[in-house]
Amino acid sequence: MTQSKIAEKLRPSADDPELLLAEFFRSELPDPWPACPRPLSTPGVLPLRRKLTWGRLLLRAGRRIAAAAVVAGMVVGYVAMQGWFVDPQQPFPSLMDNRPEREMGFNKLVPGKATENSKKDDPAEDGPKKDIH
Amino acid sequence: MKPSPRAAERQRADFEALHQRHSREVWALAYARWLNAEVALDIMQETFLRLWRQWQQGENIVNPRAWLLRVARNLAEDHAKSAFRRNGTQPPATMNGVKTHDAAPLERMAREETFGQVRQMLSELAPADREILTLRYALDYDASAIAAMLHINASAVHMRLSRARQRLAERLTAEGVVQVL
Repeated sequence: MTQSKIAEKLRPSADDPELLLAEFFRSELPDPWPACPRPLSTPGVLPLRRKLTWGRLLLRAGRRIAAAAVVAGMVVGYVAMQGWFVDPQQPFPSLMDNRPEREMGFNKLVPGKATENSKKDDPAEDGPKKDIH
Repeated sequence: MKPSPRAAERQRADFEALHQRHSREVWALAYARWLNAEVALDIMQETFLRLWRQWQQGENIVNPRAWLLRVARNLAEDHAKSAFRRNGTQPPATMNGVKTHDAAPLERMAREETFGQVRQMLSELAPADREILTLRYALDYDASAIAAMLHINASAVHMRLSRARQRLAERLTAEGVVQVL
């Protein structure tokens, strides 16, 4: 018997494609089947709540107070510094413009209308002058 | 932070149950893509490790089976790209014909030869046909189980299975691997 004929006889299920396929695929399946892999880390679960101690509570409160203080400082600083800068909408700002009229030492003269000070100073408004003599 | 021992144990048990239930299906999908049992095992292992990592990140996977099969498919495709980078256009199967110094028994040799031809024929089939054949013959799934896994109806499975078998049988006969159809 030649070698090819022996091989022919030893072929798996040479006349049945169904059986041949089944044998082929089963031979491909790992045997034994590998065990479940064991990852090193454990899967995540919700962390357990640690017991709150006074120290931890103070630390947590301190952090919050510090954050609140920073925010408050920023707000106060903004408000305080706002007054230091000139409003860019006013074209020619000067210190004189901001002072009240009475402190300026002169009155704005409006044609045809006397101001309050000019009324007081004007002798004509006090009536006819009395003769001293 | 370390989970409580009971929670970790429960997660581990769930993971092992999923592995027990679905690892063959995952392997079959990867195998159908590559016709390489070792590569399929690697892909299967990586798929399950990714599932573990997802759990680690706190992801809630509603349908683990669908998730596993989808990831296995994606990994098999990614492996195609990386295999191309490693081997260029030359498939690693070209090394299969290299002779070994160990004298193999005649029976084993004949068997390997036939199975090599079957593998070659299978590789020429469409991936969808290979999937169905793998599920049918490697996992011994019936039409309804295959239909549920591939999200198609059972009659479509019958039709595709029949066509795949026919195509394969024609090729095997043409190559002289089987004598009678």
